[in-house]
Amino acid sequence: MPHNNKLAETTGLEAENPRRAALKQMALLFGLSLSAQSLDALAATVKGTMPHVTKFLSPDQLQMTGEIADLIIPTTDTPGALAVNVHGFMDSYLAECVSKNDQKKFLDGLKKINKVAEDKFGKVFLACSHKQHIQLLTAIEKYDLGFTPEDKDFFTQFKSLTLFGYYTSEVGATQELAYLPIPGGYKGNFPFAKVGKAWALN
Amino acid sequence: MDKNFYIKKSAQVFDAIVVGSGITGGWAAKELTEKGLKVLMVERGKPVEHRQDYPGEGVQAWKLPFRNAMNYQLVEDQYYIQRQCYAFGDSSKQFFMNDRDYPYSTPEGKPFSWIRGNQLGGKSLLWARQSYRLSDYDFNANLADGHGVDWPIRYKDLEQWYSYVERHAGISGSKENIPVLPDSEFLPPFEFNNVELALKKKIEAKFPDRKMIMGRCAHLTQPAPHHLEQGRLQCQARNECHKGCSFGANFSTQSSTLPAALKTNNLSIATNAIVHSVIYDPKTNRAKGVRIIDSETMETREYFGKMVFLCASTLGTTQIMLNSISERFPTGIANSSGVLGHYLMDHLYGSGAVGRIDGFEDEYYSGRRPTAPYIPNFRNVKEKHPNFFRGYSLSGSASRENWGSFAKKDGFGADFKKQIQNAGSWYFSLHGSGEMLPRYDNQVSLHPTLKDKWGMPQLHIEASFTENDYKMNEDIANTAAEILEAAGAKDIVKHVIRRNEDRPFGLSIHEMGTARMGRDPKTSVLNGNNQTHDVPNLFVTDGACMTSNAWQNPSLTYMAITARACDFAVKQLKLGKI
Ligand SMILES: Cc1cc2nc3c(=O)[nH]c(=O)nc-3n(C[C@H](O)[C@H](O)[C@H](O)COP(=O)(O)OP(=O)(O)OC[C@H]3O[C@@H](n4cnc5c(N)ncnc54)[C@H](O)[C@@H]3O)c2cc1C
Ligand code: SF4
Repeated sequence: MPHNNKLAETTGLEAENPRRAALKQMALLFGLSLSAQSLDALAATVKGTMPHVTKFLSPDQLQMTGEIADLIIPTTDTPGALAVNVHGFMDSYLAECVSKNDQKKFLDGLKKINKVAEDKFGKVFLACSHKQHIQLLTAIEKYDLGFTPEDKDFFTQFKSLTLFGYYTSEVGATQELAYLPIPGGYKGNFPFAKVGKAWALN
Repeated sequence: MDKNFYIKKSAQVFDAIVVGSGITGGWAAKELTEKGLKVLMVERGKPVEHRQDYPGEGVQAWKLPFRNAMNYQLVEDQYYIQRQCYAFGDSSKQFFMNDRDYPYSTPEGKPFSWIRGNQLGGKSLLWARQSYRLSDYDFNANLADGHGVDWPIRYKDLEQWYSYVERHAGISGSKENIPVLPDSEFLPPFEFNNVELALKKKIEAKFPDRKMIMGRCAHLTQPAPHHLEQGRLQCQARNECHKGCSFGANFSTQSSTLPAALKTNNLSIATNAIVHSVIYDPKTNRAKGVRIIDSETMETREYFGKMVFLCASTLGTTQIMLNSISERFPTGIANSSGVLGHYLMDHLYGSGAVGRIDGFEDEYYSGRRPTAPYIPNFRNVKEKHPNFFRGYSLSGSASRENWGSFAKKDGFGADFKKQIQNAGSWYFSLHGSGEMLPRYDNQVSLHPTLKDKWGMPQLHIEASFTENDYKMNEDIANTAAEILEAAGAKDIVKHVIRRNEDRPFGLSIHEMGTARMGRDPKTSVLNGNNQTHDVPNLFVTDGACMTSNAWQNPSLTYMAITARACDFAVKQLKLGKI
């Protein structure tokens, strides 16, 4: 897998459990005597990485969410939102991490986009063309075509969840942006060109 | 590792009992054991082993089920207060108190956010490690403007103890010779980035009374030999310190004071032991030990000691004292003055300003610095400000916008993605940490009826801000904006806290006071050595002892005060006076 983290490249750590990798890296850098066994024992303390099963969106809503997310972050020379399953993340995030009220607001927001799509183009969002999609999202940001400031608030929420889902994914953090798990210190005199892209973590 | 030091039952009379294992309890345990005393540390929470019990450390967001967010209902039910803390999340939740199990009450319209760590190490695992000395401006403050009683100590009393704890803990920073902020024993400071350096020059040229220094913090920028010997390594600038640091690069009980105390073989530890009250012997007028409730079995037990150090955090300690009732002390042990529970203070956070710095597109930084530039107080130093008493510091850094800032911007698609990849504009923020006046009305008491599930009476916390606070907030925001403007920032946005509800009291997590030091036993609980005026072998060395608030982050002062009190107590014990 392409990886822009030099330390990880040189030590081949990316295939390992991240915590084991982090601990091993410390051991390597500082000659700490952590045995393979104790590394495993320490790494095993990480729980909760199991994929969850609870879902919130209907198949149509999930697809619409994926489409919009991918319009925000499309595939370029790196994968986009759809390719890294940002919609899947948004589905589980909405199912688990937000209030009933915020769940409803999200569904209302999708509904509103469908309504405007039908008023303007005579079909639901998913049936619209790419060009029409762009027209619709542009209209939300400009309060056009009957979109209100509330609709824009929804879109801001949507966007923030998309960016969160994408840039905290492995692809978003390590391929699209630059990611240093253990930076080795803070350098304040550091030309942008040296890394050439933004850090995943500020 | 040999775990023989964990005990449950014991009939032993220890030389000292230390209640709490956070920043101050850790220091008390280290100092007392190193002076040869047999010490029992009593901690309400569960054990946390250095390196082993940091499950969130180094785990990338994509390996977490919700990328460090948490189940909504779980948070609503169990962490409804702790969630307000910026450091709370999926990978640090194990170091925060469960709000459901440890409830407290507040009056309508006066919210108080009590952020707590409930484990071996207490909040020493969570704190941001900002470390600053107080100066005589602070020790003189009450006397000078008449708010609160006079501190019974001055800077010269604490100076050597600051140096002593700093060398062990490891404080990074730069020598500056600023009268209001004495220098510490420093490891090298973290670097400024180039944008901050440029702004620093402009700011200092425009305002001769304001100096921008690098924030001082308990991180090993360059470990000394004695740090390496303790197994502590250089800081890697991950800035995930609140998840636990296996490098031991920051100060915590686990990385620093606990290993030192254990090395003496003089320390025993009882975990899951909630101290209910101090046992008082009226015949000798001494504390005999503590009564505890086993948090797992609900059993009650007693532990005995020749002296008792209360280090259970400001309000934890005060809760225990208020609950230690006897014929001699019907309103709480050592409360003959009646001021126990009063004069609660916290810092004023949340007001400030932020602005965009144009240019510098070729500049960046590498690493996540766990501190930020800092402007020490300049208010009410030479002349009285017309609107308020006391002072504040400003802190904040220059950084480039990252993906988190882009949701609020218009745009989407390939260009938008590219903009994010290219990093956004530079922004510079400055936020205040302001001093609050000590007021009798800001107080805690035991709730007359409500108890927690272990039968401990709940605290009732009644605290609110005053005009002085709001006027200071206003000035913090205006002054931050003025400084940003001088530094050339554009589109400056101010933020002012104007109501209790905007940012609850307590959320700055610098709660202090409620068992203050003072010269007069009629108006204070503790003397200048942190000994209660009433009971000679009972000491309080956490934030409860603070006579005034100062504007600096307090924990370094708690450390120095604790080490000093231990030195005094051991001498008294040896002289047979305790
Ligand atoms: C996110 C965060 C950031 C912070 N940043 C800074 C900073 O940058 N600079 C700074 O100076 N301060 C900071 N603080 C504050 C700092 O953590 C506290 O001032 C410090 O930890 C107080 O030390 P303490 O020993 O009094 O209490 P604690 O560290 O809280 O330890 C108290 C211990 O006592 C135990 N206890 C309580 N009641 C009982 C009982 N009845 N029986 C038995 N045990 C009991 C608790 O479980 C706990 O382990 C921060 C705090 C937080 C949470
Ligand atoms: S920034 Fe330093 S102290 Fe904080 S987690 Fe990283 S290495 Fe540890």
